[in-house]
Amino acid sequence: MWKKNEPERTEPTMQQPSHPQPVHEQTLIGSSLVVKGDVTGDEDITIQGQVEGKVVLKNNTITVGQHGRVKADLFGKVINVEGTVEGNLHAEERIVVRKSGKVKGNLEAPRVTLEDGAKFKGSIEMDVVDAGSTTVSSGPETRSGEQTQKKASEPGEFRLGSPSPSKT
Amino acid sequence: MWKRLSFFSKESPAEPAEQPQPRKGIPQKSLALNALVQQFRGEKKYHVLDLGPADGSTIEFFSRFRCRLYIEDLYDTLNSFDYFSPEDGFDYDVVFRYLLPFPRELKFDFILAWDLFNYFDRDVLGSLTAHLSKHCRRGTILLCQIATQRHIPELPYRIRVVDDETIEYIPQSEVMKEAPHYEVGDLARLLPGFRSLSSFVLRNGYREYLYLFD
Repeated sequence: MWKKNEPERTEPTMQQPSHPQPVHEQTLIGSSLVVKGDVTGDEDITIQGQVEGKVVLKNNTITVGQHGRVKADLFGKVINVEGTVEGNLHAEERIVVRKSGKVKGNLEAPRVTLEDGAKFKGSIEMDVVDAGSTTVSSGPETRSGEQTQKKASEPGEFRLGSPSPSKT
Repeated sequence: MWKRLSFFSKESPAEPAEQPQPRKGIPQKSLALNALVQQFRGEKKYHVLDLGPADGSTIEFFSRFRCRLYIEDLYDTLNSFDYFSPEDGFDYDVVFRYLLPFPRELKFDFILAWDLFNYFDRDVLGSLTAHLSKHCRRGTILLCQIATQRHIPELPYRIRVVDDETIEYIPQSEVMKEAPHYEVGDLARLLPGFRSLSSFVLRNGYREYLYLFD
């Protein structure tokens, strides 16, 4: 009659964060857009279109998406490349070139990651001074925060001019 | 009328093969690499030129040292730049100056040519080494691997540095072609300004050389 045996239904409730999350501004340059000139500001950006000029977002993440084609110097906190970049990349924290990424230029960052399959021509500065030394990793990032050690080899271990044919 | 430049020995394919699938590397001890690595000392900053394709593991390896690593992927670069107008009067010297436009003051401490020299005809190789020698200082060390076997893959190996004395050869093609069989005398002529420091016979049909520029 009153369906006393029916189990009580519990309504799904939305989990509310105990603290309000900071609003993370993000801009998308769509695949049909072409930007010629400098891009500056204070929010993350994802580039799926074309950009020619300079992108300066030193406190933010710059992502060049798979369809993005950038001919510009990039200055960011974190730079992710999944598309094509021709220009120099300067990151305060790290640069990641994904397997679909193609970069022609010079890289400067405390950490550089080049995934298998990524194309790169240019130079990598291995002596960037930041919180630690430059750390470079291949494949997925697996060495977060690890500092590299500079090798201080003992002199005289290999003597120049001493041919020593040998079989390995 | 445009003409195809021929950078590579005749048996080489004109175009790169289809996108190479990930292949398993073949590990090999490299005493030449080990000897070269011993030259990194203390706080001096080095300039290292890798003529092979970029590889995350190789980059990670050199990140241990205080250096700037230049990666040129020369084989791919030359394949991507294979047409020119004869009216321009390009010769290989001009082409290498154009494709490898290093600042005049840049002098490399180490040059990693890996197995690339096996893929160049003598005149091209001579022009390349002449161009590179302009960016060498006294003491620059060149590492190259010359095939001693009769046949080599039609495309250079992707060479991955694993550690101080181990590299991996990652084949990019299973099709073989005839090796150029450069002898020590040939190399002496083709590497002006360099003298042989050491050579090591590898089990995989290559001999690796260290040359010193002086």
